[in-house]
Amino acid sequence: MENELSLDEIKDLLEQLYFMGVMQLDITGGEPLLRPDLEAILHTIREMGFVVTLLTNGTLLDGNVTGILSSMDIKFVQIPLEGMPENHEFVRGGGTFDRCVDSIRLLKRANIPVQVRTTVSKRSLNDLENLAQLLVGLNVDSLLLAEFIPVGRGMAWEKDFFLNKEEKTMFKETYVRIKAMFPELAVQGGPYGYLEGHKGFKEAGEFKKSFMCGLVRGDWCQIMPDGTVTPCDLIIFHAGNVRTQSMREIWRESPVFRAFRGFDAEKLKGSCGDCGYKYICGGCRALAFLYNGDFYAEDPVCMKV
Amino acid sequence: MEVFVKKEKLKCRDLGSVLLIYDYANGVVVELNESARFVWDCLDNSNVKDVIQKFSDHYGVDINIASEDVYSVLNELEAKGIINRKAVLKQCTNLITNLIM
Repeated sequence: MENELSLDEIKDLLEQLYFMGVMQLDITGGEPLLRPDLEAILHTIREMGFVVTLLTNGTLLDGNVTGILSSMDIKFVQIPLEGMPENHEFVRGGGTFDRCVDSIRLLKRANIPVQVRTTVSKRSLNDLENLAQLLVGLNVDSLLLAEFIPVGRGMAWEKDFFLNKEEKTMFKETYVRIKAMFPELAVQGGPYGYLEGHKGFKEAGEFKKSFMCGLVRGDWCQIMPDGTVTPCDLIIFHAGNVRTQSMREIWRESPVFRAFRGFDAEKLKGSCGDCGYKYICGGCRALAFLYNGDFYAEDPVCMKV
Repeated sequence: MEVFVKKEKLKCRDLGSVLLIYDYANGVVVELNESARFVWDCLDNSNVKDVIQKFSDHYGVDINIASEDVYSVLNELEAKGIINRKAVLKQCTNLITNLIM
């Protein structure tokens, strides 16, 4: 990406985050391992004592990075597997499945927790059980199953990937079955469809606070490589830039953040407004805005089944 | 003798006025003010009775008030899964001696 924050700018940002009380950093991209000074960044993060997750495409991991990660407080490294080899490589490119599996093995040898993320689509739905079995054999710690959401370039693939209602039901049934078959694999599903009994939802409901959105919850935001701060990782809302403002000022004063934090479930419209889960879910406000031009419109990709 | 044990894999951040404790396996953060932090720091190598006495001595408060304050902190930390209560070890030396006799 053009105009990325320099190493010094990142170090300054990390110091700001440290004194704001930020405890965990999720390092993602694009592809973070393409950054030539990533090792220096990781060293700084380790020295400052942050907890880290690393989200990588899994094709560039080597012993150097793994060695550094193994000396950090790392929650997990997330590697994508979009299904079994054919479906994975349809999305990610030829030869990438085996490279991802090799990366998983490398991480597990270093005793680093691994989470595999799978985008659940029309293509990958029937792969999930076999995939879960493979992951158990690789000693993967958790599997995150996230429904395909048509945003960005994904909008061109909506017809091929987006689950219809019957497929959402099938996904829910598969999710429940996989959890029962592989208790040693912590399977986490797109929470929209599994509201009953989900611990996080139950706790959020006690406070009538949305569990879905990090910024509505008040505990998350994203900082882009060029310093843009956004409340959302699906759609970039420009809340500020760390090159021109302090992170503390952006977090506290940005009108964009205030709009999200001021979210009032009573103002929800359409199916979200009528939904019994509107307080603890509330749907995706970013997608509501993207598709309907209205922050309080219904979530166009509601995943409840 | 009642003992609480700190969970493993916790990340602590000293920000001067507060101590942040992050249980990153479960995504739970707690913020301790000065007095709660005192209790936290005393937990290492101390049973609850000792912690209460130290709290009472440090803050100059009645032992009953100290007990309430200390248990308030411990109960909240336990509820959040940050600490675990170990089995109470009752001193029953005399009872065992009597049974043997």
